[in-house]
Amino acid sequence: MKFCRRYLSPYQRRSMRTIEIMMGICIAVSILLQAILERHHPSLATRYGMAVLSIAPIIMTIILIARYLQGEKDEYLRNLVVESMLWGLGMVMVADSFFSYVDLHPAVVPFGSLSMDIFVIAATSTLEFKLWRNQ
Amino acid sequence: MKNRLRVLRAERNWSQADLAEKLEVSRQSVNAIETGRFDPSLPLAFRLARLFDTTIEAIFIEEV
Repeated sequence: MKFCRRYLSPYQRRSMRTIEIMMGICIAVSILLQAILERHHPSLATRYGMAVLSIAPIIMTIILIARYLQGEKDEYLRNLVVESMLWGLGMVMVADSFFSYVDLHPAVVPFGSLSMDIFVIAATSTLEFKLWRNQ
Repeated sequence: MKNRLRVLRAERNWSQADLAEKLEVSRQSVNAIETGRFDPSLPLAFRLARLFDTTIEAIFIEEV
């Protein structure tokens, strides 16, 4: 998301950088936990622990975005960020609907491991596109 | 919604960046408003009107 940052304020740059890092952590944790699940057979208690661990960075990302939106004085950028998040969530729902028909097949990657990636890609590309269009 | 922002800005020889600085918004916001992609809120519209020393109706033209 470094593409169109020239005209953003230090607050906006700093917030977006923090949100990006947290989204990266979400993806890393998701990949790590999936890898552990595939290689080992953790107990139910461990699985609960892993589940909590997987949602923690997502909740942190939501809190960071909410804090950014609260502090953002530029209503247009606020609008863009909300729109980008909606696109991100929308694309996750689209993928969820699509994969619900095919992911029972063993050759198809389980959708759950891709939802965060889809959200990040859809949300950031929407934001980048909108910022680029109004350069 | 159409607007006369570009004309008013040109009359004062202000760049989009100048206007953005005066309004305390990003340059992208000014560009989005000018091109009609984004309709500003009432507080921002009032700030624009005050800055150009005119009325909101003189800046924004309602499309019927």
